[in-house]
Amino acid sequence: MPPDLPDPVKLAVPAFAALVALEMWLVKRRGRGAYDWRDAGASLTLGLGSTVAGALTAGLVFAIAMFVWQHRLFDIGWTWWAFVLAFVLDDLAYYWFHRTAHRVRWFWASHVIHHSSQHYNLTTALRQTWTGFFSLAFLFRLPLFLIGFPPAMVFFVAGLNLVYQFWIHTEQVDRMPGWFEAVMNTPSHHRVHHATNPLYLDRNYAGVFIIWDRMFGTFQPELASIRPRYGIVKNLGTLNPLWAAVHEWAGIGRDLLRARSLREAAGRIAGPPGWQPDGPGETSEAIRARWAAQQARAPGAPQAGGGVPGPAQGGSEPAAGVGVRGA
Amino acid sequence: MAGFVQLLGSAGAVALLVALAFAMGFRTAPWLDAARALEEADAALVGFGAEAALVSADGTAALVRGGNGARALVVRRGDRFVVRRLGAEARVTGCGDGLIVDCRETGLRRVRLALDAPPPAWTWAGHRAA
Repeated sequence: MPPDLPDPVKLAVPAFAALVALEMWLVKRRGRGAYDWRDAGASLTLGLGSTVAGALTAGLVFAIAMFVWQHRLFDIGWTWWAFVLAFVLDDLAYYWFHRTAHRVRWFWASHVIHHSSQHYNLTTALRQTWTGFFSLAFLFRLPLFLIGFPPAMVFFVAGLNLVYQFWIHTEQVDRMPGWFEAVMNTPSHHRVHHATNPLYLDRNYAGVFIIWDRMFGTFQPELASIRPRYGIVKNLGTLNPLWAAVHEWAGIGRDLLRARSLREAAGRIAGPPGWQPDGPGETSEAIRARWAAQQARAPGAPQAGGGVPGPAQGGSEPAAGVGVRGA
Repeated sequence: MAGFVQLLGSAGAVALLVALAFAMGFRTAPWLDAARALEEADAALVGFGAEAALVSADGTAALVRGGNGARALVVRRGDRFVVRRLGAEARVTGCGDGLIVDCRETGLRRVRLALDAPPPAWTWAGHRAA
């Protein structure tokens, strides 16, 4: 008989709200980290919308999960070790979902919402997608049902995974003890993930266990010399949550209408974000390569997003408001 | 019914937290000067090589000239700045005592730069609309 499992996320909501308020107080008191009421409002509104979108599609996702589970390979009972194993394997599935969500534009169109804030605080954690079902994100969990983990168990551990990821969206925690940083995803690791600095782009996809990034070659530690710049490569020009939720889908639609070949259309959907049919585009690889070349040319130059250039000097050009960088 | 009540409760909590952020003073609007405009452009556009900035008198936006004559727009959004490299479709037009920069992008409104003096030649970069 399956146990009646609660929804961990629903239970955690009051704690989320209390911790956001506490973090605001800490930011004010310590002067570390940042908040903006408009950005926080957009993030929280997106979180609320995500809850509604999730509730509307939950039944369908559960039905698909049950269908796959009926064709399972093993009968896995409701034992404690099954919960532990499900938690670990669900986190592995999350890693691959998350990596794909950054490397395939179709999935990125849904996930970009979470990265579209230029702030990094606990409200950013709640800035979640409205179009997860439409993007077919649930496909990544289907292998767990096929193996034989009961859907209710998988959704329960997935909820725990989401709750864990809340607290790592903060600048209030610098580093955790060494053993913890080695195994678990932490605020430091996840700050790297949310940064747009070339060295940090598309790194640290882990949900709970950072070991997946270490195993699959996507780990990047946070460096004291490069302060993270948060957001996306092309930050949104508006704080409107509706636009944040749909802008990349609109971009895909626009690019498909302009596509001149089937190859281009496929690349616009399945290629990495920033892909262009006739050049390197603005993919993370292209940006990182440009940055590396720039660093090689001028080793002493300030690193992108990490340093402050020298003061602007009054230029010789005859116009007020004009600053010119010294040679 | 329980779900609806929970949704209303969450919406109330959102409103409370946003009001709290406002009341605690998280509503700054940073002033953009030339040094900051150059820094923002270089940080956002790898390899841009920011050289000069034309800053709006109200400190909300700037046009930045990069290497090879490239131009970028830096504009305030909340308490942060957003940067756009100006492509061929972008338009810079004169308007009284300033400029209007239109990136032709949904979600990024046309930006007005208030100027105290005539803009330098690089501002127009080959196309000038009166």
